Amino acid sequence: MENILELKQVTKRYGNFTALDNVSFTLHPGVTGLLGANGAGKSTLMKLMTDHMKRTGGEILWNGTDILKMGAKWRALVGYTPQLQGLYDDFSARRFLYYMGTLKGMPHREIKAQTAEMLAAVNLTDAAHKRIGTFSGGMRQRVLLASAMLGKPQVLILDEPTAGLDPGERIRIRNDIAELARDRIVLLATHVVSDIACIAKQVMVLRGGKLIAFDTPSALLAATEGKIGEFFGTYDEIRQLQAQYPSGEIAQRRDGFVLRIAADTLPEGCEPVKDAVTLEDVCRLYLKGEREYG
Amino acid sequence: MAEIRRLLLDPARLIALIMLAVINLALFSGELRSRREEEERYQMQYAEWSISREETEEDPDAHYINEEYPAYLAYVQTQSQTQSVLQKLNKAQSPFVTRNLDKTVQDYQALGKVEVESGDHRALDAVLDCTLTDILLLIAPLLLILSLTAEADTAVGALTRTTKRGRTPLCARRIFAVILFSLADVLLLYGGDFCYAVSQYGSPGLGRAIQSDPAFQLCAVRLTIGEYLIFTVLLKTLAVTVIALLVWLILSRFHPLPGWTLISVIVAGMWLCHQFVMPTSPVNHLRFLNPFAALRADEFFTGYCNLNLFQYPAGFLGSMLIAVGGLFVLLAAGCLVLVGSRYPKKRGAGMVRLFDRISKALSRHMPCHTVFGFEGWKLLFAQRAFVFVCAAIGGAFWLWNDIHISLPLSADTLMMYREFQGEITEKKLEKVTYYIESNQEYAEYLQRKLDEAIAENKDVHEISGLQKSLNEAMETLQFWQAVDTRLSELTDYTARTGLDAWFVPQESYQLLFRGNAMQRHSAMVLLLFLIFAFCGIFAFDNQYGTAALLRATKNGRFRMRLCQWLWIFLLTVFAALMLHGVYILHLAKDVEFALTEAPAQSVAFLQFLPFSVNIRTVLTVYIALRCLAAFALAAAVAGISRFSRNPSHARMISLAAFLLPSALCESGLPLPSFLNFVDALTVTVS
Ligand SMILES: Nc1ncnc2c1ncn2[C@@H]1O[C@H](COP(=O)(O)OP(=O)(O)OP(=O)(O)O)[C@@H](O)[C@H]1O
Ligand SMILES: [Mg+2]
Repeated sequence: MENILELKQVTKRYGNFTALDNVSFTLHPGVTGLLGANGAGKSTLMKLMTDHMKRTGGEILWNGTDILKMGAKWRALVGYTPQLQGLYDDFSARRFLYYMGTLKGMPHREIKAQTAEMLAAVNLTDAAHKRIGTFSGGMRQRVLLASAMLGKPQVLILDEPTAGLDPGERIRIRNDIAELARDRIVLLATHVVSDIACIAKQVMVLRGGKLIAFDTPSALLAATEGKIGEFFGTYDEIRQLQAQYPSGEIAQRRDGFVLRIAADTLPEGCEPVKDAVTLEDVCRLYLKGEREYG
Repeated sequence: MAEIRRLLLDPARLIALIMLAVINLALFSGELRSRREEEERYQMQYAEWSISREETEEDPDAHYINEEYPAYLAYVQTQSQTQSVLQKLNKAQSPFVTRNLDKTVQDYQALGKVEVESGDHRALDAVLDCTLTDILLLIAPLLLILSLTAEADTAVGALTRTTKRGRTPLCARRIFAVILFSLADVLLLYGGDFCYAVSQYGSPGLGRAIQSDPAFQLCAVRLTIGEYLIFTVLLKTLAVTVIALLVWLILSRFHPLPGWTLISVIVAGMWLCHQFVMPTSPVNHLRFLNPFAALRADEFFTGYCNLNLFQYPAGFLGSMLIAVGGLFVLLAAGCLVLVGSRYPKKRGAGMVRLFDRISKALSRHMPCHTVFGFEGWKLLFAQRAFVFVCAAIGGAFWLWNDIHISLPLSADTLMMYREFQGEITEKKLEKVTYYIESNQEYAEYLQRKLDEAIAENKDVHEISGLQKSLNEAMETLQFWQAVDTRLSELTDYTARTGLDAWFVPQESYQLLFRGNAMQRHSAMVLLLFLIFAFCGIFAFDNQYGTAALLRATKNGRFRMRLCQWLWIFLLTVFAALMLHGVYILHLAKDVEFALTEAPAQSVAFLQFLPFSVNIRTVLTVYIALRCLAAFALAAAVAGISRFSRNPSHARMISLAAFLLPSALCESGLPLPSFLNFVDALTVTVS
């Protein structure tokens, strides 16, 4: 039987501020990408899914049972990387993984075997005995990722796991995640759209705490039909137009400057783009008016 | 100037300094109080004796001023004459001895006529041996040095070195700052002790000659008490500065591990020399030409000694000033050259490498595979609580040596206890009645004799002898009457309540249950341990922001918390048993807990217990209660830790919340008693 994680009208308020507003969706095995500008509520959503804080309303159901009722049983199924690095400087990478394994309630022999396996997966075997305090940002991120994957949990909740990684590592880890996601539910929040474009089965877009899109990448791309356009002109003209479309991206081509715009109705003089539409354009369309994206 | 201001007026540093001053004051006042309690017991013990003495003898102070001190000065002068006679007989004597004698005579002659005046010198005597303060004095300057060396490793350190005045001039300013900071430290801690002693005993009169205090009888320097105090402050400052500069110099030239090893060897060596080389030893240079001698300071004024410098006598104060002062100049120059101008060593790398190697070995044979084991590792090693566990063990040893319990029990009392202690039987009651009757008869007989003697106008000696015997007989009679009263009280109690009560020596129970300065001393150490060991337990997770990650795991909530609390409980009980246990063991050893199988109601202040239970059980429960009190306090510290950003934050808040009010209460400030957590930890029964 396939596992299902279902969110129904999940709401979270910090005082008067609504960080998540009636979010509902269902996750199936495979990678689900979560996109959204800074402050859109991605981390908040993930903290609710790990039951780190109280939700204001709604239900989160694992195969029909609320995760609050499952308690430790639910947490035994979850692997999580928080967005703010949560590591002890005085621990070595290996000790930290042992520690996480113990907290996950894994048997001793498992911990030892899997720690070695995960350290190899994130390419940290050589640094395993070093203090985390001496690690670079990317190395720390990889320790966190390894700790999330430890115990091969059914659900992986990854909050920007590839932030601060170099291109080589990013691709390696992306592939690892894709491999893991074959029979697991993976929710992956990121600002790097290309990560999701490569491996996500489904993409979710949050804006101001509301879920504004949830579909497969191809469906989302199809929906942008005729809404992405390019405007050629002098630099000054382009600057003028960009003032109206702040999410427009300026690019330099061989024959001058071009502004790539995403809008429901394209302005005059703008040529619609047929092919070569990317997920970035989708983001630009959904998140227009928000802070520069990507 | 800006640098000096930055280093000295850093709020965290000032708060730490003030905290140290408060801790010092609390410990010092505790020490004074326990000394006073001991004196009181001592006086009680000799009460009878001193009553008869007081009539005959004059005030000891006047005796010192009028007879003892002049006699001493005269003795010094005559001694040289006797010696020179002896010397003629014994040619083989070393030239140093003769020269030394001449110098001694000259020194005391140069002293001229010292006006010794009477006055209250208890405050001065109190600050004479505050060895604990001397050790605490070193902490704050060392923290300053540590922050300086730590800064050298950071980007700021690299940045300042590239500026124009960032090397030698900056270093010179820092040395100056270290001196000023040491002075402030000494003024605050040592000055605090003196002010506290003055508030307790009254001023010793700063204008009197120092020799007015019998403790300074041997002093060959012309000083008033005020000048002596200033001189002591300066000497202590010099010593603290020298040790701080030594640490700075070594730490900035060596990797931390060999650096600290070197520092421990040198400092421990100096300390041991000062502690264990006798003042009369032929190598007493090691004792006196030593920063720790300067730190101790007072022995240069309470004693008199000349060092043997190539067969020539050199006054020990002057020699020490030259030696330690020279060392200071050398170290300052060394710091200027080595810290200020040379390229900085890449410090810390060796430590990190060593740590890596250890942790590699450790992770290979990971001993802890349980949540409990890991939480213990986190608490003891990642948060360094093991340092404080070791310190608590050291504190227990220190207390063990520090505690003296002497009990004012006369031989009569002891004999009586041996005869009557235990269950009250008819036979014992009869025996007491018999003792009382026979003593009464004897006293009456003596009274008759005395009356006769007075009537017959007998010899004065005979009358006073009779009077004395009569007094003694009356005392014995009163003693047995008191025993009788106590026994009948106990039988009355049994008749009234139906609960058994035995006749049991109570002194040890009194001392234990009623609390006293000694036990409060242990409690203060326990309080310090609880704060320092547990302030980080939860704040550590807050500091590294791991809460979200840990809480998302299966055992990261209940089980982890449970294990953390278990560790708090275990360490608290360990420390409480050890620190309270020191006093209890002393009691058991020196005074003895008599008849622990007797019913608890035999102890007067336990008669409120409405059920029958033996003393042993009550003792066990009482000790458990103390552990529980300690655990409650530990829980409060942990609670603060839970809501603090990081461990040092939590430590500051806990110190301010628990130590500060307790220390202020302990030093005699009239604060509400519920603020005194030292009291809470001792759990007194009243
Ligand atoms: N503990 C909190 N108290 C109050 N407001 C909060 C708290 N945590 C988050 N918020 C607010 O909730 C909103 C969503 O925050 P969240 O961290 O979920 O954003 P995000 O999508 O993860 O952003 P980013 O891309 O920067 O990680 C933000 O406006 C933030 O200010
Ligand atoms: Mg976030």
